[in-house]
Amino acid sequence: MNAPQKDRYQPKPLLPKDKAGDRPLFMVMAILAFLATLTLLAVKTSYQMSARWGTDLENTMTVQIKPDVNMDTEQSVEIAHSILQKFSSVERIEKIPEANSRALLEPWLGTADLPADLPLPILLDITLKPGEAIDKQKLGAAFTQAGLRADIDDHGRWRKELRRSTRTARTLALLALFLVVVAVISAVIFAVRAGVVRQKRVIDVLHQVGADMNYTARLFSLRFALSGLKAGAVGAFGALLVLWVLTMVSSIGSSGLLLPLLGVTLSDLYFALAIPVLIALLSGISARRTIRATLLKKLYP
Amino acid sequence: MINTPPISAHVEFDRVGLRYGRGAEILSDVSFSLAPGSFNVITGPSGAGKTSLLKLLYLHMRPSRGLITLFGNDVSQLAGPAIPSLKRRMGVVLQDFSLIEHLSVFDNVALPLRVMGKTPQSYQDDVTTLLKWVGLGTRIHALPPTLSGGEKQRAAIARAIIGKPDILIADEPTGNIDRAMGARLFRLFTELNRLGTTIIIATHDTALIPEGAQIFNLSAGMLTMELSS
Repeated sequence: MNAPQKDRYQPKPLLPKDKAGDRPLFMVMAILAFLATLTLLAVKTSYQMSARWGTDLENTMTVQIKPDVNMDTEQSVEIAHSILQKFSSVERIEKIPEANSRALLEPWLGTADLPADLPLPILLDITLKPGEAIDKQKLGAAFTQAGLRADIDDHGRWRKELRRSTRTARTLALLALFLVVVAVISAVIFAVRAGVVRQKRVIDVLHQVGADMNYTARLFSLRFALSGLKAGAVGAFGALLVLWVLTMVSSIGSSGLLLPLLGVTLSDLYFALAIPVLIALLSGISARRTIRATLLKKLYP
Repeated sequence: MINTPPISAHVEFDRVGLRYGRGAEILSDVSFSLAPGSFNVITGPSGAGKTSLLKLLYLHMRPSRGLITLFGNDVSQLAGPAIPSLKRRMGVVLQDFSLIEHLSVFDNVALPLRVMGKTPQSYQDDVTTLLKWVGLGTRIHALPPTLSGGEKQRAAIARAIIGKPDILIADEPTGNIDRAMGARLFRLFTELNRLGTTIIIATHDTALIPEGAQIFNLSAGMLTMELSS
């Protein structure tokens, strides 16, 4: 048998590749990365969702013009329209069709045909310019002065409710993220320690032949960091894939009015990329610390 | 920091004692001195403390009392991270051979050079030559599980001496092999000793001890010395 070819010879890695015993560690880290990515994206989505709801409510108001025997509907709308246009913060005015107004009464009056001449209030949906407000009292006074009996609803009551609900949702989401991160850190440290212990033979032999502590620590930290990066990438991109499939399924027949449609965006990708990097760092540092602790005990006990 | 002053002895034990936990002393008041280039054999019955004495020598454990000086350094004063540089000056052959199973014979033997940061190209010829010298020229690519006991023993010895250590320590090197192979191994140790390596062997097989070797008899933890003739 010949000696290894001088120009091509590369020694085998000191830590065996793809050992069957590494698979459980890989699986644990991949599953943790999967859960962490889903939690992170859920937190991000909850923030986006509450922000969107808040913006929707803060930028809109509803004006309800009550029927008046002295003024026909079209005339009332025209007057209200002209008053509203004088306010610079108003961006858009939309009259809610009568059919929609009638539909709003269905929960109380049933689906039976209502008399055509039943006087119904006129609803105007007002959109304000982003970040701007309207003086509710001034608007009310202008309507009264024009002879309109109008109620102005700036959704203040709902806004308070919503703020309270979203604050609770965000706190819960952050708590979930914190717990998942703690679980990821603990499980990765535990799994890496177990992985290092399985390579005891290599550690002992390296120690016996006089390898410096940093040499062994670097060997293991690189190996486990790389393994963590791979497992983290598999878990994170698995989570993105699942999210994308859910997007496809949930988008069928969904209006996206109440809940935003799920979706995988470029920013989600960046968030997902952070997970494998975090797991790689954790694995590398954990392996390094475990090796150093093991060798310090072993160096000269 | 390890000093390397001119030294008259590689190893000095001064009233060294060793006990495991709170048990009785395995070694009691062991004192001896080994000169550079000497051939030393530690004999004694099983359980006499030969392996424990070697463990103290290759810095696997600290003594319970007494002073050990290695290459002029009081080892009790050495910090942990300074130990590997001393270990690199000693080649050790243990009873279980301590070979890494997924590495070939070549890679196992090259390990001490690899951890010193040498490139494969720089040590390839030396490792190949040494493997031929110990009779493993045809087993270079073999993995340890496929080797016989004698082949594992020779691979472990080759690994212990590839870094040209000042001291070679072997624990029962003939324990797993037949007499002919044992005699061959001792000829190998004698040859290494002729090249300047201090040899320290623990064995209960006194028939193979070469002429002129220092023999240390270990019995019930006490050490006595004689010269083989």
